[in-house]
Amino acid sequence: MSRAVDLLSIILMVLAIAAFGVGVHALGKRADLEALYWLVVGALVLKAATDMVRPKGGR
Amino acid sequence: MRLESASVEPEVEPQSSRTPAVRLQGEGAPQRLPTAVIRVLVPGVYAWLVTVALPSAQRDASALPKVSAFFALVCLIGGPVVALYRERVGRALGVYGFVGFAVMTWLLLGDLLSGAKLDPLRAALGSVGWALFAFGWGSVREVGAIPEQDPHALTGAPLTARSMLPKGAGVVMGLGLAGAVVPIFLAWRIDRPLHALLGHAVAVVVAVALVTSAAVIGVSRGNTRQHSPRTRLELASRSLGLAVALLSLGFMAAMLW
Repeated sequence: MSRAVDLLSIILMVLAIAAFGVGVHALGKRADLEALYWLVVGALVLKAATDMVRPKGGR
Repeated sequence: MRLESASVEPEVEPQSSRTPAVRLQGEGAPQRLPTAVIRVLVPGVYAWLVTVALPSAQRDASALPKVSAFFALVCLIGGPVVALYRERVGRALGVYGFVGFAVMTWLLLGDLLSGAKLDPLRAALGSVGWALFAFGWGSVREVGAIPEQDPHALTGAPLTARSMLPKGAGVVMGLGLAGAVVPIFLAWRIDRPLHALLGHAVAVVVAVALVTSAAVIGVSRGNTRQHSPRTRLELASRSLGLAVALLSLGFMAAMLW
């Protein structure tokens, strides 16, 4: 189960890379709102990926 | 030759151990151009040509940016050469002088250097040249230098690592590094000047975040045994829940519009 969570964190990191890529690409397409949306999604997904492997408040 | 003497005689003589492993400056008068000078000059001249000389050579450019670009070149070449004799002065001339005159050239060019007029590929290659120029001034170990001969080297038995990296840490790190390049590359495709600046700033922040997270994920995997998988998922649930909610909202908005 722990390995599955590790794998999930890696998958989330890849999803964050994709979201950031789409965000910056949208900025080039003059779609500012879409860019902001994907950048925020990317940031949240990346934070989730990091929290999974380094839980700060865990017991 | 130096390697042999080090292996035969482990007790290094005090005189020979005073030679630092890294230095731009040679002993006495230089016999030939040291590799450290070439390492600075080659990328520096390339960066100067692409990002300073070519923009200032435009027909509409006045004489001032051309003069400034020339002084930048003088500093670029003079810096490493002077550093052979006076390292601190040469470094100041080669780094601060060159960068200062390059910035002055760009400021004097004004609107001639707008984002719309720049070739994205040339600009990207120029930034690579600047990065290599910066690395050239850094302290890279000379070929044939023995780090243990540095007077600051800690002698004795080598320190052993307290733990091993988890399996696949390098792959995760490589994935993060490759992913960090994506937004930096895509930022060059933004044609609106103000948005391009924002895009580059965002791309740099995103790249740093991705590399940092990749390092954390790569190294921390396997060291999380004190937390149950359920706890780990719970701690990530807030940001993950927000992301899922945002994605759902985006999906619904896309369906409606």
